[in-house]
Amino acid sequence: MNISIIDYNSGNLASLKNSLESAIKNKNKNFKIKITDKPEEIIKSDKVILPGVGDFFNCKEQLLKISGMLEAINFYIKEKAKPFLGICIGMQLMAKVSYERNKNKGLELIDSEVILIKSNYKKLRVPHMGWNNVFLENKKNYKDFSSLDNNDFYFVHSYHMKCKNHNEILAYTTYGEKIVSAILKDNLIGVQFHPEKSQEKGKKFLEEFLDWDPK
Amino acid sequence: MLKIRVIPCLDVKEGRVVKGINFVDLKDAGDPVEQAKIYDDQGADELCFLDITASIEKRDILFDIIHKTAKKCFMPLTVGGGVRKVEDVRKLLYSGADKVSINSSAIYEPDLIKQSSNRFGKQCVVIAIDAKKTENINCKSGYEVFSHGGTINTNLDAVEWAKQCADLGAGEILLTSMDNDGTKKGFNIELINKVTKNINIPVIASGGVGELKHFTEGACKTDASGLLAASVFHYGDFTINEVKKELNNNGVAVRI
Repeated sequence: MNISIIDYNSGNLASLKNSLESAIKNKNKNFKIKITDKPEEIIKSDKVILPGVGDFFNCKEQLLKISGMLEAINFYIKEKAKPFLGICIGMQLMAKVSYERNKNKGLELIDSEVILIKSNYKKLRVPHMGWNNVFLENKKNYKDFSSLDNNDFYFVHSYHMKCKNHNEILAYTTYGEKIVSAILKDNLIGVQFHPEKSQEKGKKFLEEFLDWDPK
Repeated sequence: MLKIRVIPCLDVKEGRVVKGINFVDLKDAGDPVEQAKIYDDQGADELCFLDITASIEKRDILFDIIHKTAKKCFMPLTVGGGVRKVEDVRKLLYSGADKVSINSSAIYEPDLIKQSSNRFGKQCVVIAIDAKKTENINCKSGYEVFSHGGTINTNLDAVEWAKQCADLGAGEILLTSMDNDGTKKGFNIELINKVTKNINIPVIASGGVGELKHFTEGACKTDASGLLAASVFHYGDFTINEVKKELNNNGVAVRI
């Protein structure tokens, strides 16, 4: 099975690769992980991960710089219909629009908007940085993603995703208000936290993603 | 609920972990990569890696050690020491750091904060502030900022500087009390409160931990988002687990 991590100049991907490798070790399966910036590799993959740190606008710009990448991602998601995981900005990029810096269009895969965390609550610091509980929004997803049922994951973000369709929210986290910490729609999954920085629980989540068969 | 972070700090000089008392008399406490792995296994919430002498000796930052550390640790890694240019920030991030801590250079070139924040996102820009109590009447907060490993008094007001950092795009402040650092008498509660009350980005409290109860004090008497310590962990006075147990027993939300 070929797993691709999309390399679009959005930071160091070694820890994601390392933690995936460590998750695979527990599985004893024949997985191959590749960090790639080649659209043709994405199309051929069995699992694709879109990471992302920094801000929405920069990430989108970098992604657009790779000729054919956006088309390949859309083809992979819609035609191949295989599992696709977005992490942090990688999840936010699936939204319709983000309001970070200015209004910018996303990949329009999830009917949602990316907005600033409200900091007018008492003692609410932004960025939301550190370990926070993730809760499953719907227990029917427990079988596939039990790691997201009341465990701590590492967050670092100032913007969050506001989903229009409640049934696309996989998990939430409380930070002043209820914020979406994971989304799920068909073969798409996205997490706001960083599984690659979340030690054992993060590894468990990545294992679940590797096992995940959305069909 | 967001948990308070317990953060061990590896002060590194010439590739070895050291921890000084009041910034001098360095003692050797081992290999940084091995130390990092121990903290990862103990469940530290984050790891801080400071090349403490880099800005004095103008040495290059130890990218190789960071790379090796990041390979072994699946937790957030903050790296600082001798960061002078945006290019240094980029190199550290690409070596495997999640956040980069800037101290002296940010003071003399505040635009570095803005540039780094715009380019890499504020989440990775940490500004380290070394503050010391002062009698200087022009300093409203009563705390002045020192640069270059605590050797040069910049006469900046610590609270004003923290506010400016936040405005320029810093994502976090790492606040060290020079008066308390190395004394084992506990965090400087007054200093931490003065800073946290005036900014709304996270603040990491540093300097002074000697006993378990100091962590509880830091968590309960301040609004710090993280509690940092070095020597008490290096010399095995207590483990990360013991600190978390102590905090938990006192009703502080921690990740167990």
